[in-house]
Order: sequence, then structure tokens, then C-alpha cells
Amino acid sequence: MGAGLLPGPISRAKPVQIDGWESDWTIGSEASGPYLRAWVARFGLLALRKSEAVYFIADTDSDGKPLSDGCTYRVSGGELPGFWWSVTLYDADGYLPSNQGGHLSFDSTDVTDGKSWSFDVATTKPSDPEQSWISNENAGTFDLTLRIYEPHDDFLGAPTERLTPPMVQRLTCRGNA
Amino acid sequence: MSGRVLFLITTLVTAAAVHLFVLLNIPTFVMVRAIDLLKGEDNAFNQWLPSAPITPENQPVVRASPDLAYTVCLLDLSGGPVKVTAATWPGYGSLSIFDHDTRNVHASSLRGDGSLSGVIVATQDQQTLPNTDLPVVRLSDETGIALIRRLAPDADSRAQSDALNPLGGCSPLT
Repeated sequence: MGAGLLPGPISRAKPVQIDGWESDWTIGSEASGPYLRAWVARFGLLALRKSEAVYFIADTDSDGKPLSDGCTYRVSGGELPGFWWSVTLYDADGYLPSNQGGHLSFDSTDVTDGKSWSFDVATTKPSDPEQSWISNENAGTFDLTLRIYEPHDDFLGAPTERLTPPMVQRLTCRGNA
Repeated sequence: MSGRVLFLITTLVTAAAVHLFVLLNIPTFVMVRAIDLLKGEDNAFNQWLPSAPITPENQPVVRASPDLAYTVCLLDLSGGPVKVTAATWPGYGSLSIFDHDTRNVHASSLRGDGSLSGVIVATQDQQTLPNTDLPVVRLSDETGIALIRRLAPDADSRAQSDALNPLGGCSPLT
């Protein structure tokens, strides 16, 4: 409903764009414009204002190609400027894809050995049993949503200077994907 | 002005008006639909309603997080202001209030040791409020949503979060 009205992935006047990840600091607030509010209602209902959480979406890999369930990816990063963060995969309609096994999200509590981390996005479990992963089975063309809860004030004031977002590296693709 | 030009202008103005009408009403339409879905057959307003774990099979709203335990209270202010309280939580947690137009009019941390945190929710013209230390959140309409988020990525932590819900409340002031 209404999606055709809304240029995406986030329709807004003053986006925050960092290395392929996009956000808007006015989400949830009085300052959000009608296109952004309509987009949030359609694709991110009950999103919090920036003092409590910020949301970034990436729908392409680091080469600018759309994310697809025909490919596997490695997502890697370091410390992120908030109390808690997560990366979750959603399909083109903004829903978790219909797959089994519960590998739907990676969050800061999964970081076990210091500040750097990585996980794979694949339809099946990686051969390396130590490698974390989330599933893109049945996801079609999808996006990754990075949530940073209780974001640090200095990050909110200067996002492009304070955030090094995760890198999404394409590893392999099947067929024509 | 020829009839063809007049027809073109009329068509463009009508299209723009329809576009604007639909655009401005999408948030309210989606919110009403979400409230209808969440209230169930019990018409469950002004009470905390724990949500089942977010899975591909259970996604009551778009872009829900599978790492969080959600508890929702559908606000009906037609009988007066509503007091909303929730127990704090050792990990990430928040209490947020949304108006009928999807604006996040209040958000506060629920990080803490299990004590209660909360707000009074009232419409713009409801003036009779108790003498309380709780902040007052004003809505432009008589409906809205209160939402608890608690970091609970596994069944054990989700059960602990659910066990805290009876400590809080979401009910009209009497």
C-alpha cells in the first residue's frame, strides 16, 4: 500500500549517507516530512526517534550491486557508537524472509573476541563452524538494517565523522545472480 | 483556453490532490490497521500485551527485530489520561509512545535494576492530572501505542522480560 509513492530505500530530504548505508535523523520526530513519515509507516512502523535509536539501511554491496539471495556476502566491522546494535536482514517488503533455523540477525552480544567482528550472509551455514552467519534463503532482493540503540551524542552530532559502518563484501554468486 | 488545455490542467491538479491526500493519510491508515491487528477479538486497549517471539511466521508489524522482546499497550484516552509504567531491565530497554500518525512522541530508557519507569499519556485538552512526578506526554488524538522494547535474543531472556510485565501497568487514571 502506498509503496509506489515512495522513492526508496529511505525517502527524505536530508539523508545521512555513509559508505552505502542510509539513514535520516528526523525519523519519528516532528521534523520528519510527509514522504519520510509515509515511508516509515509502510516500511518501518514504530521506529524510534534518534535520541533512542538510529536506523541505517544498505541494499547494495560495497561494489554498489543490489543484495540478492543468489549471492553470499561477508559483513564486517568494528565498534559502533551506541549502547547496543544489531544488523538484521529484511526482504524487499521489509519482512524477515521465510527461512528456517533462526539465523535472522547479528548483534553486539554476538561479538566474542574484542572489537572487530564479521558474519556471513548465505543460504546455508558456512563451512567454518566458527563463522557467524545469517540466512538470506528465500530473501530475494533484500536489505540489511543496522540499528544503533542509545547512540552516542557525538555520533549524532557528526555521523559521517564518528561512524565507520559495516562493509558488505560480495563473496560468490550462483548462476546469473 | 482550449478544452484540451483545461482538461490537462484539471487532470494534473486532480492527480496532485489525490497524491497529497494519499501521502498524508498513509501513516494514520497504517497505524489504524496495526491497532486493529494488535487489539484482537478482545478489543484489548489499555493493557500490556506481550508479543510472541519475532520469527518469519510471526511479524505483527513491518521490520520488527528478532532480538527484542516487545510488549505493546494500545492506548485509548477517551476515558481520560492513561498511566503507563514498565519495569527496567539490565540490558537495552526502552519505553516509547507513538501517536495515531506514527510519530514517536516519547522515548525513554528502561535500562536499570527492575524499578518502575513511566509516563502519563493525555490528549491536548485533558487537564485533570494527578500530582505526580511522572512526565506527561500529550497526544493529538485519543489513540496511540505504548511500546516496551527489551533486548532478549533468546528464550530465557525473553521469559525474564515477560515476567517483568505484570510489575508495570497501562490503565486509565481513576
